[in-house]
Amino acid sequence: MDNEQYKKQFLAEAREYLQVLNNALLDFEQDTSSEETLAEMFRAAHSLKGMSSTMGYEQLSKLTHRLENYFDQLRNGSLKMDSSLSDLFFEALDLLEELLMKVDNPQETEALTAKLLQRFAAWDQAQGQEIKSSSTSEHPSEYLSVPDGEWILEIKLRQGVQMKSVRAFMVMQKVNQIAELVATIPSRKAIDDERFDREFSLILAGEFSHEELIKTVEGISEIEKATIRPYHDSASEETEGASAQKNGAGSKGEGTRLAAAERYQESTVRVETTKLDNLVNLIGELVINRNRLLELARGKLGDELDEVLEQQDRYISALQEEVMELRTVPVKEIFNRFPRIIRDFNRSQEEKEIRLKMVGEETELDREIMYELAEPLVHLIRNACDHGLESKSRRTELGKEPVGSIKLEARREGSNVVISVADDGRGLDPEQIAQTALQKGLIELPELEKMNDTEKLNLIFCRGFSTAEKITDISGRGVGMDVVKQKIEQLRGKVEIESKINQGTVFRLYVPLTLAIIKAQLVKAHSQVYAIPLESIKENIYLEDYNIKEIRQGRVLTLRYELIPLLDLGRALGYQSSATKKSGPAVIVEGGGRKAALVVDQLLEQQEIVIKSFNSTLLKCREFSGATIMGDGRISPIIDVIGILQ
Amino acid sequence: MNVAEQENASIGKLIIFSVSGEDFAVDIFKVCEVITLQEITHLPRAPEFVEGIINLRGEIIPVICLRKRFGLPPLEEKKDVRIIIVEINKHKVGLIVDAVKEVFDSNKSQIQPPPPKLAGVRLDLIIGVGRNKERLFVLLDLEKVLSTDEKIALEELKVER
Repeated sequence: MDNEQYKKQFLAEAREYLQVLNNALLDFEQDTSSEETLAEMFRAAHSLKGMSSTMGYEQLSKLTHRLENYFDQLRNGSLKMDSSLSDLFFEALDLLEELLMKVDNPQETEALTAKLLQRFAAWDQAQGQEIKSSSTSEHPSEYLSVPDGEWILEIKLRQGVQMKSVRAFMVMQKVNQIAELVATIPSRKAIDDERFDREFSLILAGEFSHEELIKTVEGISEIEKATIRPYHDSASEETEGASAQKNGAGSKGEGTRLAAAERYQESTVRVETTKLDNLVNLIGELVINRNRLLELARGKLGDELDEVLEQQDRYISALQEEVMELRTVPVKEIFNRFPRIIRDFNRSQEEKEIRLKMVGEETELDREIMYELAEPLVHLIRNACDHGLESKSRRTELGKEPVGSIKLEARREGSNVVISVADDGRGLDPEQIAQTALQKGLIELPELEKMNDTEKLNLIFCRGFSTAEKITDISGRGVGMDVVKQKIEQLRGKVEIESKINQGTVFRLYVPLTLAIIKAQLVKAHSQVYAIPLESIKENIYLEDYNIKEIRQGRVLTLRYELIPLLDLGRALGYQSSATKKSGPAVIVEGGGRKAALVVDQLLEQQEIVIKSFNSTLLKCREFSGATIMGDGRISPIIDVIGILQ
Repeated sequence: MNVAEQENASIGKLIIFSVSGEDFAVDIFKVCEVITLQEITHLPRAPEFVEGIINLRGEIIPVICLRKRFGLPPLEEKKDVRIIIVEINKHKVGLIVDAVKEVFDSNKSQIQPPPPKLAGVRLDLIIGVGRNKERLFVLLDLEKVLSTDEKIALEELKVER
């Protein structure tokens, strides 16, 4: 691994620590008595500091050290948590994040560091307290060991035990469920290679029940004895000497120093996203190739070869599924930012107070989709804060709990993930929305009269609709609900609203689990094969079975009491089509709230296709969402149903 | 890229191609490969000069016909027609040209900025002008040629008067 890669890894991890700090701080704000949360903050700051100085980012390390000092003072009671302190912390975290982004620009980092140090100094002064930062930093070793956090667990195996490394591994597995395994003595590798006698030690961090730990460890067979005692840096020399002795001559001077001890490897690894994307692309190619092979081989091979082919087909499908899973990440990654938004909102004004509840943060979703969802979600949450929820006094008048609530929930539903944003605020009034839409000329009266309440609610997704009475810095940033809807539909998803006056509003976002491979119906029109995503298809029909009427706007057919406009696919794509067809196949599609019967020349098979995007800025084709490569190497453009119906 | 930047970026090898009897050049560092004409999937609603998309070993690449880009009729004899795959703004694009002539080893002094007083010449689309044996060629600013929707006539790129 070269430096650049180390740096990337460092940045990713550092960001994670900042996120941990952010979350822990939010928790700590709620419950300032929680020593556990404080310990978590301390640990995160400590790790970040260590990493930064290892990487040579002294400023980052210095600043985190200051944070650690504050946390330490909180812990020993010389400092009390209050809102001014938490503001200071949050500001510090924001600045640190900025610093991370500009870590290679000395001027910027210098400026940011100065800014933050100044901020710390100002706060100290305001508090009338002198932080002995200079004196503490002279003794960094004091901070390098987490005073009440690290323990050494010494384990002795029975005489004549077989497969020592397996026993050790079992111990580590069990221990890791209870405490955080920091390091091993001798090194992990030495243990794996059985280069130890009967004894080995584990350095542990975190708070856990010692009794439980000892009981668990001694419960493993072939363990003679387990003892635990606090682990200090000052004691490390002794430990070092002792363990080196115990390990016997074979491992003398090897891997016994804590610094050299390998960190316990977690069960996850960090992989660059580009590598994942490459893997997904390769699988895509493999799927295409498989389809081609199946096509070529159909009926031409003997039973035995057919069987092998079939088996390979299954393996590829399984592989594809696994790889697609790799692309997924828990929605937590975007949910994480919302507690902070709500906190800042609550701090920024007096009239409202909001509590955020999050459910299903572990639900997994395609990384790319999730990335695209962040903006619409922020918008929905901000809308709920600003417009959905009432002020405390208003809520009391209505007999509601003064604190408003927003519930953010994610769950899996078939091949979709549903993310809902629910508030218990004033709700949306369909009549009022209808009136606004009418006033703004977004809809005509006759059309409006035919609408039911749900359809009226959906008018808020029209471009140019906004019920905002006042614009605050939380919402009103120029993104309207139309953008939310558009974004979701681009992801081949949909949005639903449910609202009851004075009870609240729920927005549900349905998005597919994955973007890269979809099921599609292949059709032929104007001697070209096109792919239509199955999610957009209601059903396939034959025109001759239906009664087709000519109306002013074109042709329509009646399908179960519903009038559906006919759209010739070739013509919709811009070709001059000669005759108007009265018979033949058509595909009923739905997208963006519209339906149509796409008249095609021929219905082909349905199959899994790999979506390949193309340079849309150059091609300016909104009727296609990409293209796919067929088994024979030819290209089939993928119809963007929403685009084609507009 | 303007002339100054181009100088810094070291003009080395160029690929010279012809469209309707005129010679043009493109920096070889922007060229991924040159392929023969192959099956093109037409996209009817795309801009007129976009011929369609091709499958280049699993990658889908838009293809632009430079003749159409310059408002010229298509070539009848397609024997020498090639697609030059270039990378512009991290996107690959194919350029259909009448023929690819040669790789030209140039040095900075051989590429001159276009004479500024030529009437009717789109100087904004031209990085420079060079001479290959007795023939002049125009080093095109491909980014600009492909990003603008305006009509470009071949006449506007002729610097030989």
